[in-house]
Amino acid sequence: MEDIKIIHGCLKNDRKYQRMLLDKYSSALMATALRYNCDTHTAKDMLQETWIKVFHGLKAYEEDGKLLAWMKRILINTILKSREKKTITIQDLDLWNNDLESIQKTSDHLELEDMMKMIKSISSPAKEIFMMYVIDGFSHNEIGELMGIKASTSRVHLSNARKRLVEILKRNEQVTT
Amino acid sequence: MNINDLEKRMRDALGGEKAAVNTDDLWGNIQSDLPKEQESKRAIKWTSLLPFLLLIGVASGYFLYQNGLKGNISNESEIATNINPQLPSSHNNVAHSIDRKTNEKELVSISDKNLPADYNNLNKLEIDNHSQDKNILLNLNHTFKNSSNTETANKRDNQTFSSFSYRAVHNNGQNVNLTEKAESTERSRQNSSSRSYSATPLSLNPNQKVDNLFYNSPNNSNNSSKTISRNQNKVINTNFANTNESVNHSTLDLRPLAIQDIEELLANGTLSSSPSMDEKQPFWIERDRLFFIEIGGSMIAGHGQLALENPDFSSNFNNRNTAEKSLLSYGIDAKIGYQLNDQFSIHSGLVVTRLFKSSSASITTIEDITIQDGLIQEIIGSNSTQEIRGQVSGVRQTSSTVKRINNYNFIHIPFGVSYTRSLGALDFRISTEARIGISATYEGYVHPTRTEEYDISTDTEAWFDKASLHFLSMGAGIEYPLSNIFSITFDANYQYQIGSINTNTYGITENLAGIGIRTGIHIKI
Repeated sequence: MEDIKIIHGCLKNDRKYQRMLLDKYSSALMATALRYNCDTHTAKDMLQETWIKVFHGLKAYEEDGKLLAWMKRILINTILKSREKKTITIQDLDLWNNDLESIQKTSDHLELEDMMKMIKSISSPAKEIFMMYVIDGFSHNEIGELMGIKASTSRVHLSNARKRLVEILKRNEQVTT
Repeated sequence: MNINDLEKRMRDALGGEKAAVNTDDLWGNIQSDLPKEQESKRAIKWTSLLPFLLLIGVASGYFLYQNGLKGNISNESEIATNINPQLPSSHNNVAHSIDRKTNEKELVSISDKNLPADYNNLNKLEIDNHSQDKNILLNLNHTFKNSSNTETANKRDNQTFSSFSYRAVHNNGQNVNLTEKAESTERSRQNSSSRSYSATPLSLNPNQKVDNLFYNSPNNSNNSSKTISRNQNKVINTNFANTNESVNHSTLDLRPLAIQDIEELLANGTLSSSPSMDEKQPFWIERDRLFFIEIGGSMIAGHGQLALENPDFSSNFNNRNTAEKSLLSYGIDAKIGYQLNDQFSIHSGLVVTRLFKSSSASITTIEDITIQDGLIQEIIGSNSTQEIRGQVSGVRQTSSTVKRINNYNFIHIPFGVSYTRSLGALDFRISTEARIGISATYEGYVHPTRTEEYDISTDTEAWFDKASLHFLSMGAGIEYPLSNIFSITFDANYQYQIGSINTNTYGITENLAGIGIRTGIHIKI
């Protein structure tokens, strides 16, 4: 069924359509949540909170054909706000670095898991900004709104993230050769 | 690979990535937080129709009642003079024997081959010769119920039913008491008409109390000691449904026998003038019992789907056990109806159905605990230090038993039509009704017993959820008449929910359907 029909059903608070929307996009949102979170449990919590916000705020959605992007923005915003209450522990960073050492492949043979490890090795908030800009397609202005920073600051963080990835790529090339 | 290529690969690989997630759990967790705007609109829509439906129902009932009175009720004199039920000729023998009761004083036994066997068996005369006083007590209590068919193409449609009961006590002592209660009912299915007659009490002497008749017996001087007591309470049923016997309307006198007695007494001079008669119809006969009440209980299979599909109902302890689908719901109903004619009736009332489930669970938690006192933690950059000045470690076991109860309560107002057809001793009926109403859901916990009250938190708040529901119910059953007023009913029925309102409220994708059995008492009023 087309998104537009599902949205109209959801706007009438018809449980059938709401359930259809949830079934259709939950897995994509879950994958996004996992990229921004460390564990499955937190990702589920974020997803749950996001869906409630989506169904309550669907009236504000402009039917521009970017429903998933709109929901992802809500999801990421939810995740970022929840992170404000937490601090990244040293243990987490060590774990990521250890994971990174296990990537012993050339860049042409990188798999999904390897890419995730590379991304996770970038420090926050450059990591989140990189994912939002490169993978989820947000503009710097949108990122600035979501994260409460200036667009120029977002560009700086993105640049730092790219530098980090280039370093990793070079190191992998050296190790494999 | 340069950074642009890497980013493109990352975008392709991660942008469309999907991760497994249990949407059932997710949906179950968010349902209670979703807006319920449409639900309330539906409720308002249905509830706003209720007054109009009730108004239509009351108006229809009044209209039918008025028409029914005109069509079925006659004035008293007409009722009294139009008693002319059809009886087979064999009844004449019975009536004849009663008319001859004055000749039975000297009889020791009666054996009339022409009488029905039951009647002869009951004619036990007890003779008491101990008393020197010549008292002859003749106590007759006869009830005749006869049904016969006139010879027409469709016998059943022309079935005529008549009943007649008579009680007379003749005491041949100082006085003879004659107390009568006579009822005669004629009912024709074809004409949809019904006439009833009741004359009680009957008084021949205006100076006496209305329910007694006193007069000097002509046998007062008889000193032979005989008491003849006949007490027959058994109903004599004769069913001539399959006979081809013709009925002679003109020769049969089925007026209360007391009236015939009076005529006889007038003829032989015992009475000098005709006594006054008090003929009246009891109030419940005036309307010929066109209204009825029905009270019943039912058991429905199929609503367990609610328990199966609604995570609020069952997921806490047993995670949607499919066996819950077989949960039965139980209902009670009270209905009032109006008999349009001998076949069709309409009814309305209240139906309450409940799907109930109780479950309990024991939870035991064993955990390592560390109680720290005086913890000093310092985090500077990537370095952290901590100092613990006091610490207690141990194991804590927490046990609790929680009982959880859930129920769905369906409260419906039915509007139904029934068709009834007589099949021998039973009435077979087909009934269908539309129901509108609401469901109220209750979920609650019985407070748990536990050893650590602060370790396990349970939701002890009961909550209600309402949803409008409308059903169609169709059933067929039998009705067994115990008397002219009371009947026992047994029905099997099928219920189907119109519209998938549960989808909105409980996330249930199927319309509810159930098969039920019902039994009840049908009371004509």
